[in-house]
Amino acid sequence: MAKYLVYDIIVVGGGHAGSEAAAAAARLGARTLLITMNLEAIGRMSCNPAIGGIGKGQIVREIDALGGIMGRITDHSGIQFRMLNKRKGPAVWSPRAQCDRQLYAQGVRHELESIDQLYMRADMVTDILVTGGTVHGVRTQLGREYSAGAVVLTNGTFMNGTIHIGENQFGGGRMGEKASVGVTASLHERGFESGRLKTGTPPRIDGRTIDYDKIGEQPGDAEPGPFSFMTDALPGKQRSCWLTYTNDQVHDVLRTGFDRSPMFEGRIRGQGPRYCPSIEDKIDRFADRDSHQLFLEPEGWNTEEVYVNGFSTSLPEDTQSDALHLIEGLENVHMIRPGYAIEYDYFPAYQIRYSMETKSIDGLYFAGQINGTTGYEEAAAQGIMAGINAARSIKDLSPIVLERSEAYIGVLIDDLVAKGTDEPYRMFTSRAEHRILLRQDNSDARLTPLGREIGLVDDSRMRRFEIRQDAIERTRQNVEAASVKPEVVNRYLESVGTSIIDKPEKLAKLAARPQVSLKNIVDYVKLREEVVVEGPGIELTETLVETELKYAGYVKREQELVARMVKLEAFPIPRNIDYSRLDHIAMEAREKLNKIQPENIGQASRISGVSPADISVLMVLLKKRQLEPQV
Amino acid sequence: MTPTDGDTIVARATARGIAAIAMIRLSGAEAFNIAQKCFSGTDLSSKESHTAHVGFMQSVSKNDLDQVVITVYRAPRSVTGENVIEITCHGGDLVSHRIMDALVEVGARPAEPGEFTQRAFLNGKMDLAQAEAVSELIHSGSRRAQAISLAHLKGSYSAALHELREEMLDLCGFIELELDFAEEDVEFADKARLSDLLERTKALLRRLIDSYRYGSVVRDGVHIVLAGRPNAGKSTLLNALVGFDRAIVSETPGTTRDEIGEETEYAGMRLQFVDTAGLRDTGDEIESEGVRRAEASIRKADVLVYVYDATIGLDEEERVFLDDLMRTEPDLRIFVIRNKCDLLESSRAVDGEYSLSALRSMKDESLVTPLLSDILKSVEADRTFGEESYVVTNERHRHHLGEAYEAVVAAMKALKENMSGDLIALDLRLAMNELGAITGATATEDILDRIFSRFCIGK
Repeated sequence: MAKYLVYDIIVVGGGHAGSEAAAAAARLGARTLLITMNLEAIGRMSCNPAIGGIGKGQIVREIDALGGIMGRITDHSGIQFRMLNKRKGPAVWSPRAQCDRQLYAQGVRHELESIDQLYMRADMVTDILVTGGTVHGVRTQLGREYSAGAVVLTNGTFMNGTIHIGENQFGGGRMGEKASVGVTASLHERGFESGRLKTGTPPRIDGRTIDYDKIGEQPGDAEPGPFSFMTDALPGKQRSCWLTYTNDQVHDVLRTGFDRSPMFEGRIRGQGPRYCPSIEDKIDRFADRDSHQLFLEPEGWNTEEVYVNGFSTSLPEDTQSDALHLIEGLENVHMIRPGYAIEYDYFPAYQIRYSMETKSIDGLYFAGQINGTTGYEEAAAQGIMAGINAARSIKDLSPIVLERSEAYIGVLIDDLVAKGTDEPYRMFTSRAEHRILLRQDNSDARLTPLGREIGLVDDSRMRRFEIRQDAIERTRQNVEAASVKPEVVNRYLESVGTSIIDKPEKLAKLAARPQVSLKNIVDYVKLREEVVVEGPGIELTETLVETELKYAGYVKREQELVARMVKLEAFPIPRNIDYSRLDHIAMEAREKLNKIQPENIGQASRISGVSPADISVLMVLLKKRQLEPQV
Repeated sequence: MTPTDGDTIVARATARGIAAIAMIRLSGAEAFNIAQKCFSGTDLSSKESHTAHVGFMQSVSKNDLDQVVITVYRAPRSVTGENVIEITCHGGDLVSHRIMDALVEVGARPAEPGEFTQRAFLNGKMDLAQAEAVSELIHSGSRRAQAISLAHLKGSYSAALHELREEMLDLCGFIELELDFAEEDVEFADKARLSDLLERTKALLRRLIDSYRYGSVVRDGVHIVLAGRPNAGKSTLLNALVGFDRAIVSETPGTTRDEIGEETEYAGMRLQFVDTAGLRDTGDEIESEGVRRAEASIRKADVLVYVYDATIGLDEEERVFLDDLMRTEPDLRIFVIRNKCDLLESSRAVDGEYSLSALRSMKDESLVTPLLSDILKSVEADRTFGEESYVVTNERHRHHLGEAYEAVVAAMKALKENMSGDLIALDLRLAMNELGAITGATATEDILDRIFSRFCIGK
């Protein structure tokens, strides 16, 4: 075979999962080919022009800390930055950015082109080539065969994608792009099971036809924070988002389209996400609410296109347009493109291992929506892990699996593999039981050393990481050593509503109080120069130290919980157990355990349908060595 | 391999020692066949579940060992969920030993401690709390303790805890909603409702925890220490209380040098009496060690019965000693006995004290009845639940309830101080873990180890 047809790794798809997978694999030294149907669509944001959000922003920072690309490109293409949940605890602070859609995609393309050993090819993969249970390449629509030691599938919503708008339905992977056909059938032939999921997107409107005077403005943060630990500066100006609401009349008009709705008429069978319902779903299910909140999000610096967040719909186009006109501020609106729903194939994730490799075909990896997730961030997280592990498998290195107590990425993959999902899966902070430890601000401390070990963290990132950690450590020591006198600090303490002191007090003690800001207090008592060691980047060292001080007690307790779970994780279960013979475990649990084949008791305990009693039984059986693999 | 097709185990289910009857239990797939090999009666494998059959147990050499009644329980309708045979034979160690030897010879294996309960647990016959209740039932020393263990076995205790945990899950749901959907206009947790739920949870946990004081007394019996000056008549009173001569009674002060324990059951409650050496400064080495032990016993006791000689009266040192105890041991219930009233020419009752004659009480038990019934009442005062099922008797449960309580208190504090929901949620999660540890929801290896090692052989 000609050399240009032989690669170490082939990545199928150029979305957020595919880009991270290809970038990681190539940077780890694998000769990598990224095959996508449309090179212009690499890094495209199919839905809203935003990255991050609650639970998702943490993932982006983790990807960045490991040496991935999403964080840097978000900072580069962001037009508005906000830290969500700022009034709540730091564990749930979550960065979010509106991005320039074009700039983002360009950034990804540019990034991929800058990586040695990474090649792109425009074509459609129709078949996976497998011999003796091991993948060895792919075949494309053009009849070409490419060979590789590992293949990463990141097909997004393209596999047998069907777009629905009212009574119209047609094949497509995204509006204006063809669906991908062949891969599902190829996988079915090899014994994989697939399901159907549905997601939707709202209409886009012309910003010149919005009456901004009538609606509320939502500006970005005055002091915007970055996603990437490598970012030194963010754009000087930002664009605002805008807030408006639906009303009774809007709902009435939308209802007139229900008889032509593909959802209510049963043409859509795939399960959609409950937490991101279409507007018709909201009206139908929450009939008592006469108003729903909408965010109008600009799509970029140089475009008037605006995304109507909260108005996802697959109702007929005329109904969409009529209803929009009844919304405050949108009386004269011009709709650029209608919202639509899309159904696509996914492969329930009990078919993959924690490494993202499929259980039945060696060398084949799944990442992104193919595993049932939704969201750019979730896709990218799986992409980088699949890319890392595919590259490692070529070198016969053991896979990298992140723990739930280590990263949101670990939570995500564990949830998928151990619990599976029958609706599009998105991250929430509540999915992470150890979220106090998994803060966005400490993602680098958690993952950059590992990224270095893996080989994705280059010298400049590592040096920067060490300087930052050193600055934090020295500042912490200084804060713990410094003490302040009542006469210099009491006025400040009174002003923030906390009790005054009557003898000198350690600065660390004061900063641990909920009302006190370390940043403000060091300025007030004029100790900044003495105490604060500035680090690289935009984030303030003293804020990072303050968070650690304030939550030290909680962090300690959380670590105790982790230690308990670690004990369960260390309780391995042999592979290939025939659970169906364990009469004393509930039938549902037996079926789930058989499908998922958990690797240890900790994972087994998180499988839905497996009760605590079932786990106790498993533990006793293991102890008694009565749980043996099938011969 | 599953436990149901594991080997067949055998053990004596009744206590050792002399008794009218004894019971031997076999459990496992081969239970019927193994029993049949030693049984001269009917064909057991053809019999329906829950039927009893008379016949002779025989040794391998076909010598009759004893006439017995065999009860057949078919899987899964048995205590362990496996085939079970219960052999009721005549009491005494010799007979049951010989029957067991015969059964082992034809294929049964002597059970390890807790193995029957372990099998029941594995076969889904009981959850952790229930399995522990079985262990308690075996160890229970009185009718009341049995009543509580039986109530636990029926599962109501687990159900109550499960409900508590469910309620907390709901609470967490509210908080999480606020954290994960802050950007969307969802309705947020109602703080008043939240704090109300926490308040109720806290109160219920408190009552359960408090019930342990009563529960542990029911489980272990009421520890009653008799103390007083030498020759105040403690030993005589002990004999009167338990109804027969146990302690050496003599007129020489200091006769009781060591602690003497005695048990009786009164109104269904186990009472454990400890007679102590007379409290006095003494040069006698053995006796002064006895005095030291007496003081230590008093501090560990549930009840102190302090006896003094009415003809001498309470001296200043004794008053100081008692006042001191009242202050330092608030949980200790103290009863002061004005003894030897029969020797007084005229006797007036003293408030808060029991005037009696231990000597006369030995012949007439009704004279100590008011004292016994008051002791019982003082213990009953700790009972926080009317239902037996809500009395916590298990030390491990009390520990987890205590931890859950601490976590709920921390959550309430955090709520009051307007702390962020992610921190409140952490406390609630801790509380749920602790409650789960009781019903088995977060059963870790060491919990199981501890529980199973406690099980007495044969059940």
